[in-house]
Amino acid sequence: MRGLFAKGSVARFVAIRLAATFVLLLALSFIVFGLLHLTPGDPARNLLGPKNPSPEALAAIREKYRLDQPFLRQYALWLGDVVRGRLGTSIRNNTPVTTLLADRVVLTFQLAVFAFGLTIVLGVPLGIAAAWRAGSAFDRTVSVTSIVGVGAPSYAVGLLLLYVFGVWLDIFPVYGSGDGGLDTWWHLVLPAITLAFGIGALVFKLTRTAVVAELQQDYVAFAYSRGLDQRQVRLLVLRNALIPVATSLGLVFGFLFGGTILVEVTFALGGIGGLLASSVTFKDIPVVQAITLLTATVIALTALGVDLLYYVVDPRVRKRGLG
Amino acid sequence: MSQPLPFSRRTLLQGAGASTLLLLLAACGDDNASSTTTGGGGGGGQASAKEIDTLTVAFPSSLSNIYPGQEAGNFNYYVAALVAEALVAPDSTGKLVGALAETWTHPTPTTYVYTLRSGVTFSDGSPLTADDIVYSVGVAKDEVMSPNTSYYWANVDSAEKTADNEVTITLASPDVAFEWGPCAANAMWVTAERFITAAGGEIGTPAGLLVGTGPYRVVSFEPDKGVELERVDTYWGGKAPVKTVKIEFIPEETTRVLARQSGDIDMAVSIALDQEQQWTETDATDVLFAPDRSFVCIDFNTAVEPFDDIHVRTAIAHACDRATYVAKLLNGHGEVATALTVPQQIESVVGDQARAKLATVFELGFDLEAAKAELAKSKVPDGFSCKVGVSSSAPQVSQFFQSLADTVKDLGIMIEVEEMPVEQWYDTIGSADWGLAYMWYFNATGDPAELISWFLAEGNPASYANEEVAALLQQQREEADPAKRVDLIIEAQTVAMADVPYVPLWWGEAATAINDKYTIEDFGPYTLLSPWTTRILTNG
Repeated sequence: MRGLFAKGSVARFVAIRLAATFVLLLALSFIVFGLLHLTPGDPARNLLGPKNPSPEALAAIREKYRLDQPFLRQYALWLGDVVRGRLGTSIRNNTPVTTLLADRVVLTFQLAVFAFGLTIVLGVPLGIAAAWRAGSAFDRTVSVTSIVGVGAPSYAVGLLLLYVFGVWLDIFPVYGSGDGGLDTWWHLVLPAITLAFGIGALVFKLTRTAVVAELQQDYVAFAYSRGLDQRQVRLLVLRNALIPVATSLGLVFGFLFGGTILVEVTFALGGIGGLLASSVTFKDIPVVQAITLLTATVIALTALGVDLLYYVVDPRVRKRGLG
Repeated sequence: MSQPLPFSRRTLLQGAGASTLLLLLAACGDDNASSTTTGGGGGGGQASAKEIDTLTVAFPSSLSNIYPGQEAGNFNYYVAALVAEALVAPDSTGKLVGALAETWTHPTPTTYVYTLRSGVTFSDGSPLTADDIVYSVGVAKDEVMSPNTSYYWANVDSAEKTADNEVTITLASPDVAFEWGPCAANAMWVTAERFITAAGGEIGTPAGLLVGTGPYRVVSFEPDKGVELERVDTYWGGKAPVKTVKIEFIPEETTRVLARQSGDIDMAVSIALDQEQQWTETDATDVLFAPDRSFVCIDFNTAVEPFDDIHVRTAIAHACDRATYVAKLLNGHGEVATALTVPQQIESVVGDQARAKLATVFELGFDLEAAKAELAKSKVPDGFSCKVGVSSSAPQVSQFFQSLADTVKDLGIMIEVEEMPVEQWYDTIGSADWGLAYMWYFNATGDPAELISWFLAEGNPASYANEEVAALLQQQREEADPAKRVDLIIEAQTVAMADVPYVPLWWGEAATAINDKYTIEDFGPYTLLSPWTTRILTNG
């Protein structure tokens, strides 16, 4: 057992990181709870809209959602529920938060995975190919296109794709998430391309920069001088360039998972991005807490995954130990 | 009713020049411009109630709950109107007619006796009983189950089954406006206890849905996605022409236009006025306009300086070029408001005289010289600075205040327009921090006293008090003669508006785009608050 958690071991590293993630989530939950509390607006009033609110109705709503309690007590009650596995009830929807999130999380996850896949398939090989031929017409063309990709707002790209492929060519559906299964994946093609367009361009640039930097290292010239053929040298270069690329890909997934809102709105997808935005302005605290913590968990676990990947691909890290 | 715009296109896509560009591109492909119609149906030619397999309708925002007692946006009402009914309902002129009650009487000032229609069944085939009506009154009155309707029922002492087919509702004090309470366009949706118990106490949620006696039953409801409804063939009012109604939530207006262009949707309610042209240029599409009983006004907090000074309020009123706002900001789809009550709330009583009767309530016109003179008489003759909070879901109101700010800056009045989420705007209503505010109010009922019962009564957002007005308000509550009551309501407003606590700006219109294969019979201000898919006709 002691050996398993010995200094520098993977298990010890993972255990420490998980504990740190837990502390981070706890702190984050308190900060988000506090910030929402400080923002103007009253959820009970929001539920009643712009009409003459009766004091009785306001009091009944506040009591039901414990909004009449002092701030710290509200937080303690919420935390107590979470520890017991209950995420509470949405004030706006009057539905348990777990029910509300179930389908949406799956949809946003599908969208993020789809876009992530496209990002890797497009960004990494193009980045490598452009770096091999740095300065060529191919490199210049792809690099200029990537500037457009990074700069273009995702809603504009989305609407353009919708017009071309949804209306004009009539290949893909214009809105919604379909009826599940393959139909949902089909509905996610244009949204995923929209997301992948901007972020893929970023990954392309990162990959290209990393590979170009490696190609300029002394060991490359040394390898050639020792008679290694181009394929062998390139494999060597790729292996070293993979570390910064892997780090960026980890961040990209976290960004994709938490950054789907504009695409969700453009394509009328009911994911967690849109829900988070409307819940924040409504001050629907249980929903905001659940989505924030979920997103933070995904980002933290992805970062952990990336660090473990270092361990696999970088012999220096393996030798030195993690943590 | 509130205006449900959880996150509007404006909030998210401010300055979205790209979408405009795209629509221009999209419009190039359309050779046949479609027609624009005000009221009535579009299309032309013979229209008939032919069987329509599926009608796909796009709403511009999602719904959290399909029971309006829980979430009372306009679109919640449009869905509930197809599924559940109440004792009475508005006809196309806004006059109340029997729905689940065949007839009703008002034997004493505090008693309403409803005789139920026979042969009415719920969508599961079970018969409607007087006990279900009594139970549904309890649901509508419950502050937790129905936070949005409970206050309509606060004056109700009891609801009792007085015969097998009769329910008697007794009020604590006389109030003729109560007649609009048991109405699915306002504050009651008849269901049965067993449906709510079976759903674990939930109503209007994806698990609880809404079960009623209307022409449709809910097949599925997914917040942020849509609602699917299926026709109930045993509906007492006859079989509706549309078999399946699919309601889709598409928050981005440009996507809605593209969805219509691709033929994926047949109909879009509440289209954005600033994209009217894109809609009218869409092939095979008619755009129907009808007043939506909405009212927009400036709301001064008369307890906050300098708006406690009537000369300041009058100066601002004179600086409002209301006719131009209607023409430019609303593209003419609306009319200059001259009172708090909208014409559609008195038309069923006074007919064509509605506008003439309301015309003299507020008469301060656009006159910059008069504005200057009024300000000179005030305690801030050199002007002042103030701010106004505007919901980002109300672009026309924001444009109005920016235009007003531009007009009054020469008088020395500096108005800073602060855009904010709709929820933060709620907080500005009647707040001491916001002496200058506005109200965009959607009247839920056809009752002419709906808004003044809040805006001129105690606790109003202008902090306005006037004993004469209070006495007139009390009188109209007890006046059983509709014509006399309308006169009292107009008199109360006339007296109050002489003190300028509010500046009425416009009465609004809503636009609905529809596949020109179809038309909506008698399309008007109350259409979408009644079972509207039963009025969808097929042209040709």
